[in-house]
Amino acid sequence: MSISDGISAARQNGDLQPLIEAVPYFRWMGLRVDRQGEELITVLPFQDMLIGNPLLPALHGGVTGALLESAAMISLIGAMDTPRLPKIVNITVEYLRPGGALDSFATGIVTKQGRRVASVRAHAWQKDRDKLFAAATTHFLISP
Amino acid sequence: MEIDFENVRQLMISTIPHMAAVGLDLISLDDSGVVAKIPHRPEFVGDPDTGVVHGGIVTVLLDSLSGMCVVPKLPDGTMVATLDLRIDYLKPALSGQDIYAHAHCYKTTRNIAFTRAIAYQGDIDDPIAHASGSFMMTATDKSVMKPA
Repeated sequence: MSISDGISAARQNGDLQPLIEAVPYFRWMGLRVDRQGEELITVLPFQDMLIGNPLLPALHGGVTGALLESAAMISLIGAMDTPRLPKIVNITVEYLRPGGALDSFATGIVTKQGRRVASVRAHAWQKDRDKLFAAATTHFLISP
Repeated sequence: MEIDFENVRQLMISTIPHMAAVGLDLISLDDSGVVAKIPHRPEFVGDPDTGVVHGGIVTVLLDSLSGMCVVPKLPDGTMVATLDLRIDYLKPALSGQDIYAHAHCYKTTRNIAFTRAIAYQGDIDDPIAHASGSFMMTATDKSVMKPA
């Protein structure tokens, strides 16, 4: 399935999983999307290969960044009305505490959707949603 | 700090699972910075319509190197924790090509280290991404945390 087919399908039935399956990197990471009411939660099930610090142990910081970027994009796709893949312009990741060797969750909040650019804030947590382990500010280009 | 390059290169992939998983390969590491690459794999594609690599792989490379380039600047026994990392995506990565990055630490204070990094494919003067990071120094052994 192409990306635009995946996005169109997601728009029709609200299921973003086919879109996730269409992206090789998301499949390789094992990402999933759970819809909880209006919210799209991106789930990264724990695997040993995600570890960046084996002493703690903790997730690799790049994995945390990738989760936040993916969650921001997935939440933005859910909020947009065009079947186009948003393009990331930049991301600033704040590392609040180490991500443990646990399943991780993230979601994006579209803070501003303009004609060309959208700003999305993203939050990531593990056991306790009120205890974020990382957050990000992102910008996406939404029109060519 | 003296660095046994080949030892660091091997240690990274033998002890850090995610660096091994992406195939991160260290090319050089000294006081002037660190260079490494992630060889292309079809699993890393983020847009199957174009074959362009997902930003997550670029993030893993830039995050790894930004943290690593701080280490030679620090007293033995000091570790770093990332405070933040900003990445600007300057142009799409070309499909099917390895991604390289160069990172260097341009300032350290008593508590914080500041880094810059770029990711590129063929030409270092035509980068695909730029990163700036800040890192907090931490120590397993508190006695090494003396004022600079």
